[in-house]
Amino acid sequence: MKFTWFRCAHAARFLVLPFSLLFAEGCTGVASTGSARGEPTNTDSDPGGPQVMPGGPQVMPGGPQVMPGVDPTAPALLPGPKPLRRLTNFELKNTMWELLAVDAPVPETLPRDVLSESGFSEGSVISRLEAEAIMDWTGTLAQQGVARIMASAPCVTAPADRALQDECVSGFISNFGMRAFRRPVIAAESTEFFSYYRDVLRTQQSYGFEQSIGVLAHLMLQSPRFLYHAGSPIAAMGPTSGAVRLDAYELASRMSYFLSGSMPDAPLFEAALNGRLASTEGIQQEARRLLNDPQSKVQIEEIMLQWLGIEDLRKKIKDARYSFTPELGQAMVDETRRLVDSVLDGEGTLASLLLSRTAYVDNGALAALYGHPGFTGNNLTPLQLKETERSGILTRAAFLTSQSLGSELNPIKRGLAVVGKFLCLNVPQPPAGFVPPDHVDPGLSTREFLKRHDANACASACHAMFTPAGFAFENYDGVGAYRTVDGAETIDASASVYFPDGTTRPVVNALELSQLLAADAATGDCFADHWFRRALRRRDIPNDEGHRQEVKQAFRGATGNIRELMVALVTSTAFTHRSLESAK
Amino acid sequence: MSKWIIRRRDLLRGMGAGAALLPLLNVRAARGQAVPPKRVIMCVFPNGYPSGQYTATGNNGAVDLSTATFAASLAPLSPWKDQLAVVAPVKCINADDAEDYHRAYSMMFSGAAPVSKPLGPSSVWAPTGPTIDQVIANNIDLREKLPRRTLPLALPLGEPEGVDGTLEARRAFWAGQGQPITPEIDPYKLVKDLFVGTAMDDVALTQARAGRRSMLDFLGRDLERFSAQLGTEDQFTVASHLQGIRDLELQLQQIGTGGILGEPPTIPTGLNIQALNDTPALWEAQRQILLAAFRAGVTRVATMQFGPAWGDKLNLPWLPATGGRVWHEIGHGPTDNPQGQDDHQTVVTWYSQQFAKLLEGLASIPEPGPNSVTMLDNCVVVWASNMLSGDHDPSLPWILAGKCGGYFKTGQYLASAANKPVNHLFVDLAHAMDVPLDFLGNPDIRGPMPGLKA
Repeated sequence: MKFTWFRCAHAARFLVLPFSLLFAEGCTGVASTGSARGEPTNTDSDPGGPQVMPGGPQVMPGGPQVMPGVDPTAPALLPGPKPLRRLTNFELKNTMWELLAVDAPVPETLPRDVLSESGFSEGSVISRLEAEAIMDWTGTLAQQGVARIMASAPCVTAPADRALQDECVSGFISNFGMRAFRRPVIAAESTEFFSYYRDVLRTQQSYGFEQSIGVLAHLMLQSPRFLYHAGSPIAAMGPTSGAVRLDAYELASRMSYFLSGSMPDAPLFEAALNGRLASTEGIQQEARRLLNDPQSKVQIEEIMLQWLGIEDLRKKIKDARYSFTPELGQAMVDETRRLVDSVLDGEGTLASLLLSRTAYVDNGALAALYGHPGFTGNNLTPLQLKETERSGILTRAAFLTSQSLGSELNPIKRGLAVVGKFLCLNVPQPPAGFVPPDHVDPGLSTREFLKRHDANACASACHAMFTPAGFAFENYDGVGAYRTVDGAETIDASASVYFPDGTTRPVVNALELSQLLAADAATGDCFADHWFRRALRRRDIPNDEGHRQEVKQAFRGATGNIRELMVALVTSTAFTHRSLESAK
Repeated sequence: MSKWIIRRRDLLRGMGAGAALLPLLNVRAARGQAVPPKRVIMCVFPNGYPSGQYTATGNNGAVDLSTATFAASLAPLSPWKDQLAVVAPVKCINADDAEDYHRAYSMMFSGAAPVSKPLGPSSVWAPTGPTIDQVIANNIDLREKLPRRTLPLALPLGEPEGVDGTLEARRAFWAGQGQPITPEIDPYKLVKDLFVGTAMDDVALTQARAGRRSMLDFLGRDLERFSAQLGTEDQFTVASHLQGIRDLELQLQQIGTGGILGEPPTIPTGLNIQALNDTPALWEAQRQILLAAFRAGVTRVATMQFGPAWGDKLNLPWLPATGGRVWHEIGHGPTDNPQGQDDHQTVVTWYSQQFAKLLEGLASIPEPGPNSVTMLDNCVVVWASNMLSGDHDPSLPWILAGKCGGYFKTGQYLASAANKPVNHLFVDLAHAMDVPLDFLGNPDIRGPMPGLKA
């Protein structure tokens, strides 16, 4: 076992800097209402272009909608920006299913999502390679999904009359665009797409009516309006400073992608159209409806895995002594997903995620790892894990395996994960010029080695905040199997955990640590902080603090119910509004 | 419905049996240019050299490499001494206050300030300006239209997890702020894309190409309109997308005017871009593709990433001596791993061998001119890492290979460059490639690196 100071540097990368420490002076932001006042915009670009025909979605762009503009009940604290993000690969796949009824995996040529500054995944920036992959992929999908595409055209077959044909194509642009862009198509856009259609007809004489519409759909699926979580084009013509409430469609889309990982469904579009998202109650109602849909569970699983730092364990590198296989790694991740599902099916609270002993295991090696060799269960048969060995998520194989190195000290990473992901503690940087200790005898137990290392005052200052919490996991080896000895020593899993309130609390093992975390409000607050960043898909800014406190309050009030946290997030002004500071 | 969507690659490849590949042809030579084109390849590998191994003895000023001895990690380069300019470690001043020098990975080829300097989660830095390869490529693009502005390559090395999972840790080359260049990794795809036949008499194909050009043209204009509604930061994101569309247009345009002609290299079948064990074979395939692409006049600028910034969850199974240990920890050397120095030497020696192979390939291609000129003589290959040693030593080792048409004074260790800003080297690269440039990234640091020009 060995250790060096650079892990302090690693620490910083895995930790979340607590907002209150970073921006203590920045929390008194005053709304700049003066500059935010602008006339409501109503320009030539207003919806009013081609009429929506029957057969498309039951929304009419000409109907009432919440127009963007300065909210008369402007928040005391300005909301932050809503940075432009492209749909993640996960969102693209889900959206294609919703839009085209085509179940198509994102092609391998499209680079995998990347870890973003929010601490969660985002789609990689589109450059040549991505543009090419998207062009190929959407072309294939436009062919596969042709039935769904044509259903957006108001005419079943091509009308013989040219004018009627044109009208049908205009209707298609409105209907398909409404769903693909998640908002009504404005007149200027409709004109552009229509001229492209005319161009296709003119230059590709061999194309029939249906083919031309297919090419148009292919084009629209490559439009930035489809590929990005964009704002309203009408709002872009409004005020340029201060803050605005998102227009109803932008809000619906933001809600849907956060709560379900996909585009709005028909009832949500309808709620946007009918103005029901103008009130907090309306948003709550729609949010709860979406959260009860099975699709939402998959989305929550995804967010949980990212929050917990659970990797694609098929590719995890482990020492040979662990007999770790890609199949076992996959089974671990699957088991975590099922744990999240079972929590959502039950109490739905963060506490139950930390305390549940119910596992769904369909892999023999994983069952054996949990001390139930011979268990031949499946995803439907719950396995009650041993009370003396396992609790919730912190003691499950996926978390323990992800939060450990291939061959080295586990307490550091696991301790960092606990304080970073559950307690949001700030760990200071190692001092400049700190000289790393030499390698220490590999025959020592982990605890003994770290004890010697921490005799160094500098190292101690850095590690005191997180390594002790990691000792609570000493009963679990590098792949999460339960153990009672480490080297020649009997395991001592007692630990002390530093809390944000400055107290240090002793625990005898990870089971007690889980109990402690489940009972303490600091855990819920930290969880809310992480999910706040996920909901807004950006890093913190000073003005967030007030909004975050409200969300935390709501989460506490809902006794740690995860779905209710998500409801609180989507009703927060930080979510329903955005600043215009970064506007042109 | 008939097949109305034609995959882009079908357009490139040509349709039907008539699309035979043409024999080897150096397009530029065939176009009657007496002077062979200059080319640049920029390579980066992470985690630096084993402590103390990036040296050549000598006093302040230039050291004659012919009398110097390389340490083990550089030994594979010994046969190429007369083609090398080993630059004493330079500084990436915009990464100097980074908590560790892995962050230089995304910063070291632009010299520009970082967008921000977070030290929290996923806190790799991103530059506010373009990297030198892009600046050179854009300038060449003003003068002559090549099918590719640049050819960005990378070893796949699986799908990086952890801190290497961030964009900035996987992208060393940037078109500008918020515009990382995604490298290409799949050799099979590259061969299909870069080496195509012609079928100019195929009416349907010509028409399909026209359709695709029209689509790309529309998308480009659509992105411009879309971008006009965005704030500055968001416009950077869309600028990258727009450049991607323009690059695709450019390539299609070249096809339309005669195709990219060249002999594709033979790539062994069955390579798995996700298999770490296939790394040497994948790199060899990419090396062959790069050489063939240069030969065919596809581009004059190439980049090659030999791994992500940290390598914190990768091992190197094709080098059994490293015992499956994680690359990052190997890089930290003996401070993290008792046999760290040996492991690190094993890894970097392998790198240096690959560098030598690249030079060997370039030197095997004759070019028109007196005295047995080869492509290497008209090239410059940059061989750099994001830190001097894997223990976060905050300076950058740069080796330049090739005289680039007589610009560089090779065969020397340039000791006087020590601790000077890397930005000077950008100016040299630009001038060597006949691109006028006074500075890049920082207007306070101007001019070339003294002593590098012949």
